[in-house]
Amino acid sequence: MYYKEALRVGRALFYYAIIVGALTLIGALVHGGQIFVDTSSGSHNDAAKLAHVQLPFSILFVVPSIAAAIFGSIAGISLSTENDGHLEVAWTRPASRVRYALAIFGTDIVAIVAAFALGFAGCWIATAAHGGLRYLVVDPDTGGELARYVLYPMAWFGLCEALTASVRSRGGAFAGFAWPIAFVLLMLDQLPLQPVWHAFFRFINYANPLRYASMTIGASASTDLVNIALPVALTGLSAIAIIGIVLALLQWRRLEA
Amino acid sequence: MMASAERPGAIEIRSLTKRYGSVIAIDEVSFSVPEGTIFGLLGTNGAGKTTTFKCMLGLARPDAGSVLFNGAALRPEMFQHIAYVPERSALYCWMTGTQHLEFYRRTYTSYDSARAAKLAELFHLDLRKRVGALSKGQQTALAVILAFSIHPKTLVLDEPTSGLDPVHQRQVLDLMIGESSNGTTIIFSSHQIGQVERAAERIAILHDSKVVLEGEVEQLRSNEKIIEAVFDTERPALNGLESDPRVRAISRNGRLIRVFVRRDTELVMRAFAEKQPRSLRMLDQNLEDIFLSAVGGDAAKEAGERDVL
Repeated sequence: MYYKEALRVGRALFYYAIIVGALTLIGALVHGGQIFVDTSSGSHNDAAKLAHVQLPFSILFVVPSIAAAIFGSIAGISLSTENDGHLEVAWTRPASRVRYALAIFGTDIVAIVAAFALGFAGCWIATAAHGGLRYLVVDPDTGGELARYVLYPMAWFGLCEALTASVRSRGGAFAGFAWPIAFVLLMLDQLPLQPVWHAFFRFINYANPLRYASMTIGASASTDLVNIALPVALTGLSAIAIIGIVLALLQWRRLEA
Repeated sequence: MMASAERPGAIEIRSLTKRYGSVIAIDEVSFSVPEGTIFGLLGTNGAGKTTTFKCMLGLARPDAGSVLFNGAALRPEMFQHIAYVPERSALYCWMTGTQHLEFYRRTYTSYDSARAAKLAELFHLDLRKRVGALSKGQQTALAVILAFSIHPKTLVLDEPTSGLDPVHQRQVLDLMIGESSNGTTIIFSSHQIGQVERAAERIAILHDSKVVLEGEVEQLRSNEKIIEAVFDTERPALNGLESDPRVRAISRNGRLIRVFVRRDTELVMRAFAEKQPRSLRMLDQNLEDIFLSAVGGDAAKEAGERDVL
C-alpha cells in the first residue's frame, strides 16, 4: 500500500532536495561574513564583542521549519489529488478508505520530517561554512523548540488536508491561499479592533499555525508576531495537526467518486 | 451445462436507487449476474450504467437498494478478487506502466507478473512510459492489463474498449471470454452492441435510469421478433395494436410499419394479417433491434426510424 505513496513523496523530496541543495550552496559560497560575524572587516572592538555573542541553537530550526511547512502544505493536498480522478483506483484496493488515507498521511508525515531534516542539514552546512556554529548554544529549551518547529509543518499539513480533502481539482489553490489568509488573520488579531471583532479573530487564530511560530532571541529581538509560551504552542500546533487530519478523514469517508 | 439463469448469482443488485440532488441517476435497478457468466449492461448516454457500477463497488452511496457479491455485502478485502476498469482512466499520470504493475504486484496476492508482461506485449504497450504520455487507448489497455493480471473472480468493465483500435477491441473481448471460461464473473458496459452480442450471455438494458429489459441474449433473440408490413395506404389504422402488451414498439415509415413483438409472435402476426397488408413478414431481431425497441423513441429515431410509439 505504501509503494505508490513512497514514489509520490520520493519525487517531491527529490525536487525539494535540489532546491535546498542549491540554496545551501549559495548560502555557503556567498561571502557571508555578515551573516554571523565578519572578523576580517570589523574593528578589533567589534570582534571582541562578537566573541561573546551567544545564539540559541534552535535558531537553526526556523528556516527548515518554514521550508518544511511549505512542503507540508503541498503534501497536504494528497487526498484532494486522489479525489481528482483517481478514486476508482484508490477505493478499489483491498483496504478500507480510512486505512488507505492513513497510509497516505503516514507517508506524508515521514516526508515532512525528512524535508525538515534536509533543510536543517542545509542550514547547518551554510552556517558552518561561515564559522557561525561556535556562536550557537544548546539551552534547556532546545528540545522543546525542536518539537515546536517540527510540529509547525505538521500543523500546516493537517490544516491543508482539512481544507482540501473534499476539493476535487483546486486543492493546490486552496493550500496556496491558506498562507496569505493566515497572515491576514494574524494581522487582524493584532489590530486595535472592537472587542467583539478582536475576540472573533483571536478565536479564529487558534487554528492558525502562524500564531504558534515564534522565536524570542535575547530580550528584544524576536521573530514572532505573537508571543506564545512553548507548551501552549506545542499544544496548539499538535491540535491543529490532529484535528485537521481527523476532519480530512471524516470528509474522505463521506466522499463519492 | 447449466443455463446461466439457473446458476447462483455472483452479483445480486436489488432495487438500487441513486439520486444526485433532484436528478434520479438510477431508479430501482435490479438484476442478477450468474457466476462465471459475461453480463452486458446496455444503455444510452446518461442511462445510468456508470452510476450502477459506482454504486455496486461502493464508489457512490446508493439512496436505496443493495448489492451482494456471492451473497455478502461488499467489504474492502473483497477487492482482492474484484477488478474494475472505469470508463475514464483513473491511473496516475506521473507513474509509468511498470510502476503501476509494481503497485499491483504489491497490492494483490494473486498478481501474475508473467501474465501482465504477456498482455503488455499483446497490446504493444511500452511500460516505461509515464501514463500521462500514453494515448487514451493505451491508458485503457494498461487498465485492462492491470485488471486481468490479478486473475479476479469478478471483473467490472465500464466501456473497456473505449479508445482502442478494432484489433485490440477484439483482443479485449477474447480476454473476457477466456477469463469467463475460467469461472470469472464479468459485467461490462459498451456502446458497441456488436461487442455485447458477441461476448455477453445475459444483458440488461437501462433507459431513463431504469432497467427496461433483462435476460439471456439467446432467449431474448428467440422471443423478440419484428413483424414488417407494407400497406397500400399511408398511416394505416392499427386498431389498438399500439397498446397491446405483447408489442414493445411500433415504428412507421410511410407505408412501412415495423412492429417489435416481445412474445406470442404468431398471434400478433395473425392479428396483423387481418389488416390486409400488401406484404407481411416476420424477422428475427438482433441485439441492436432489441436494444432500439427497448429504449423506445429517442434511440430509434437516432437510428433512422420515425414515429416510434
